[in-house]
Amino acid sequence: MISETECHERLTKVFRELFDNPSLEIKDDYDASSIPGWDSLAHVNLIVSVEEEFGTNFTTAEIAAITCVGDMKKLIQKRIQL
Amino acid sequence: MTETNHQESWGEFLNKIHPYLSYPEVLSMARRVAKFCSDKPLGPEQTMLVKTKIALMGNHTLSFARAPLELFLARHGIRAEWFIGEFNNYKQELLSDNSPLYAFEPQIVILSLDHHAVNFWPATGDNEKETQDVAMRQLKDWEFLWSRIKSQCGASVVHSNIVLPHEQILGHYEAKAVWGATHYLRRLNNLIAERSPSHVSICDAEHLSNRIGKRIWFNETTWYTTRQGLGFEALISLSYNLASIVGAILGKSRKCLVLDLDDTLWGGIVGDVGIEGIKLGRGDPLGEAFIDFQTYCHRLKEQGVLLAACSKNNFEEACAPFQNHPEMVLRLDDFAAFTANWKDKVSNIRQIASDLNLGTDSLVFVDDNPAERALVKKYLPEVAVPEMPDDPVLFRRTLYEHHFFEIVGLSKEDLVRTSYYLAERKRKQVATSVTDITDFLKTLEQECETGPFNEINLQRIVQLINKTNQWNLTTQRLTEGEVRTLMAEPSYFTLWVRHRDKFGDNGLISVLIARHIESNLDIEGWLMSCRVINRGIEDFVFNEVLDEARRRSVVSITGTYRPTAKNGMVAKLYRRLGFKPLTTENNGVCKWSLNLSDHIDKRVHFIRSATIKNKPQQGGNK
Repeated sequence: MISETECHERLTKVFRELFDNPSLEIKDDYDASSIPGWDSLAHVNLIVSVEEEFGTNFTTAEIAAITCVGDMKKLIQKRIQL
Repeated sequence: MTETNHQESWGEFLNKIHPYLSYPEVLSMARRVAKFCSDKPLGPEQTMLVKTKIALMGNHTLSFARAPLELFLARHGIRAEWFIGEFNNYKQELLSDNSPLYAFEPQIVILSLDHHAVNFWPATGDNEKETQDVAMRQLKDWEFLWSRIKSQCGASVVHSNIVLPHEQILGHYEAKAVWGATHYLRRLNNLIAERSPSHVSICDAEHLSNRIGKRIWFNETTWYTTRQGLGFEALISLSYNLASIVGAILGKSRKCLVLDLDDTLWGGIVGDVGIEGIKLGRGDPLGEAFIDFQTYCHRLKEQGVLLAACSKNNFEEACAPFQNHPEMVLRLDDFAAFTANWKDKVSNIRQIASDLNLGTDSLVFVDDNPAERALVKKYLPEVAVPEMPDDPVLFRRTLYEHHFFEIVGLSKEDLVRTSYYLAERKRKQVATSVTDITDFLKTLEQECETGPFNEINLQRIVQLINKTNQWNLTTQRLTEGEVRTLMAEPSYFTLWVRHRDKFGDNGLISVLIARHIESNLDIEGWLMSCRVINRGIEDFVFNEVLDEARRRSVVSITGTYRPTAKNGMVAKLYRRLGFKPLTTENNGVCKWSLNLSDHIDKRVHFIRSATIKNKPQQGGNK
């Protein structure tokens, strides 16, 4: 089990690194339109970086269903629980 | 994930680039490259980067390859501008007359086509001839693309061949039946190799997929979500190798392999255990691995890579295994330079580079000792220093997987290169015994042959243009396509020079390109291989230019010196040849002029003009 706080912090770290913005804050309803540079290429790189950070792999259906930060968190929490 | 350490120098950063990085590491490091290249003001390290324009075209999404390519190209000192083709739009982009691709003017086109791009397939049951006909129809399509690229922009092409899918519908029978998909795609790959002209290099992606395994080469998830079917390991492997090939095209491949001896070429310390005690040869697992590693190094040498030894040892003890060990594969004559002493390796490596007239950025240093590697990385970050594994049985694979010595062609000169350097060692011995340089040059019995650029010598000419750094007045790099263009242009005077002396044939060693505009002949490019400097060859060549100027009845000759970090040795060449400075720009580019209405003496040299024999001579000093 991973706490909401830990999940949020580690996810924030991934976003900051990937979008090269050390003060970036993320919110659950943030999607590709909320962060400059979050295009389809960045999206795939984001998924890979999240998989690496949390040591897990998502299925294609799960990846296709991710549209916002909140989706990502739910998925991570589901995974880490198992 | 690696944290970017802002204390580390650019050179130290470059030395952390290797083919085994993870995808997140590559992304993170590629961001540092992008930042470095856009930092203002540009420092000397940024301006040292060679700029090129690369178009990335194919039938799958290629944008993912850009970041890894930028990182790996940075390791070769290359910074690219990009044209990224749209998904599966490569034919329109290559064939359309007003394509944005050609407006971009790429120097290199990377064509990455997978089996989805194959339009012609044999029917079930087709025989050999029918299958071959189908294959040739497919090839015609690609040949047309290659020739189109050549005629539209003269770019070099890197064609990434077809990666066979990991599934075989009919099982192993697909490899046997001529119409089977496996059999057919292998045929296409062989035909790509056979039919590709010299401006097309091949990236053997099929081989790479076998190396890392097709089950991870393909990634179904990314294929179905983004039309980018390469797994991330595959993306890194392919990008790393494409960068090496682009590096080879632009003359950035490494030229010399510097080898430690004890525990690198054999097991044990020869100074401690003697030649009977070292592990080398059959009957011992490590002894056999060292034999195979030596064999691999020897094969590199046979293909033009120079070998140098750099060992902390007493000289005689370091030489002994090469002279007296029955199972030794490498011999002393295989080494273009051999140092064994107790000085630090940084000084010794500098000395080796200087003896071979190479920049230290042409060297690869292989040593089993992490402390020696760290020292060289710190003080000579431009030397490539692969991290060697603890287990010597993996040395060969590790060196091989770095692809330091990638080539896109092999000239006769490459095959006999070491013998040139051995002959040079003997010449230096003569030079030390002759006090006056003129006497020395007279004793060399030098001969030069010259001629205009031609097909037979084209490969070597392009190679020299792209790899010569020191004796090079303008360091203007040209692709094969660009050289062909100026060969066909009557206003251009082009000259290649072959040289030999009593110690051996040096091969084609100098190239000059001049353009006749109105009443002036302008020397746009002039360069010479460093193994023949200080022989008076430039005086011989300059007399040829004078003759040509008279034939063309021009009234002046101009030339340009464009300074780089490496070509200081020719800064004063035009002054020595009697030219007057015309203009000097802020960046140090200096234009020189020689008025032919003044009386001009022919230059004195000790070189006989020889008749042209087109067949390059093999050999050297033996």
